[in-house]
Amino acid sequence: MDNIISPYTTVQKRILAEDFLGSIICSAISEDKAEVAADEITSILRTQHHISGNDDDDFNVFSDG
Amino acid sequence: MKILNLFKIAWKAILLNKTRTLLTMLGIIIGVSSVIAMLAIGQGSKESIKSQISKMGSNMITIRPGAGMQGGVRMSASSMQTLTIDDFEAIKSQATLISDISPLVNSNGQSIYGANNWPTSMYGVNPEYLDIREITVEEGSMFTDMDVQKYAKVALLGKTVIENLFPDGEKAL
Repeated sequence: MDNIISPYTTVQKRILAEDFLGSIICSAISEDKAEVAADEITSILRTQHHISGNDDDDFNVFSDG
Repeated sequence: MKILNLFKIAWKAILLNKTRTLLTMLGIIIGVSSVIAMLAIGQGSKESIKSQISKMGSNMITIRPGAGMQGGVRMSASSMQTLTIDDFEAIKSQATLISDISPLVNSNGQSIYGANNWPTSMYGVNPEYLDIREITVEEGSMFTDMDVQKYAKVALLGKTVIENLFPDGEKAL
C-alpha cells in the first residue's frame, strides 16, 4: 500500500489547514442492509444541510452493496 | 431362509475371488470419494471467494460532497466544501444501520526519510477506519481517539512506503 494513515484532525490542521472533510466512509451492519443504510444517511444529511423538497443534494452517497 | 442362503452364496464367492473382490471395491471407493472430493472443492472455493469479496468491504458506504449546482455551474467533487465534521457527528449519532464510521481527508505528497523519498497519499481518518476497510496493523498499534483529539503527529505507513523509505530493513518504529 502506498498509503499513510493518520488521525484526521492531524491531516486537517497540520497539513491541509482546512476544516471540511474530503468524504465520510462507513460500513453498514450487514451487506444486505447497505442500501437501506445509504438511504438513511441521505435523509439525515438532507435534514442536516437544510435541503427540502425537490432541491438537489449537495452530496453523494455510494453504496457498494 | 432363502435370503440367508443368498448371503451365504455371496460370501463364498467373495472368499473364492479375493483379488477380484478387492479390485472391484477399490474401483467403487475411488469413484465415490473422487465425486465427494470434487463437490467439496467446489463448495470450499465458493465460500472462500465469497469471504474475499466481503473482505473488500461490500457493505461499505461512501459519502462524497458534490453534484451540486452553484448559480448554474455544476461543481466538481473536489472543489465542494459541503461535508463537515458536524455532518459526521450527525450521521454517527442518528444512523441506526451503521456499525463503523470514519471521516476521510486525504492529501498527496512526498514522504521523506533520510535520502529516500516516495510519493504517497495521506489519509486522515479515525480509529474505526481499520474496521471499515477490514485491514489490520502488522507492527505497532493504531492511534487512539485521544491522538485524534490532540492532533497527534502519529501515522501508520503502508507496506510499499516502508519498503521504499527503509530499504535496508531499518526499523520504522
